[in-house]
Amino acid sequence: MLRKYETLFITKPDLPDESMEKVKQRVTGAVKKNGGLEIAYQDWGKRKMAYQIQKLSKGNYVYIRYLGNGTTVAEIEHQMKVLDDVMRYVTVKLDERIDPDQFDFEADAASIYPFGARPRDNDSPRGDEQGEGGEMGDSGPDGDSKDDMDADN
Amino acid sequence: MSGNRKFFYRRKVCIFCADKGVVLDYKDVGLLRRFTTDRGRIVPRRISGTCAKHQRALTLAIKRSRVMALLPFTVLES
Repeated sequence: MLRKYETLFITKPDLPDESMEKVKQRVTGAVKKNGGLEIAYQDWGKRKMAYQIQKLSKGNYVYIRYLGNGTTVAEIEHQMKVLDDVMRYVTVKLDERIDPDQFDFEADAASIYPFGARPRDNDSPRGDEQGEGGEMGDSGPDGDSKDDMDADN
Repeated sequence: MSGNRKFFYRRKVCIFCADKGVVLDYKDVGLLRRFTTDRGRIVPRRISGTCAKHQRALTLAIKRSRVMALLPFTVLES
């Protein structure tokens, strides 16, 4: 029985392909060598960060989702700390008690949305949002509260 | 004392309880940003109307998001 994890990490933005490849090899290697199974490894590209990290404004976000146990996670996090090019990382446990034989890797990999960009019904228009417009806005911003918002803005 | 009247004034409905399809994800900046003020602070429950359980999950998501520089810790007024 394995658990499902995801690790999101940020690398420096202007790394050459070989460095990125090295990171990929180290991380996926860590998964394999420690009883883990990789579900997906995705480079989500560069993005402007909310604040500067190591004096940089942009970072390259890389995502990996995998099945594993505590040892797997420990090894991946070890690599995160060791690699100089990795500036930040976070590991989240997504699920427990996954049977690797019965696990549908492809379906799960397909359900990964970079930065949470799920397909949604865009009902309530919120003029001040960029990107993902109105999510589940029904019970939320109605006539009244929107007026409040606009007054403040 | 109405506090920060920036957001929904209705206290009844927790958005996450109402629409079960919405998943709280620290990576979902568009969703999370609705629950932070323009200064970057987390909106209190009595304003946003979320229930206790989801507010805790929301707070965790926001804090993780901040660590990963998807949301700011603070925004300075210029």
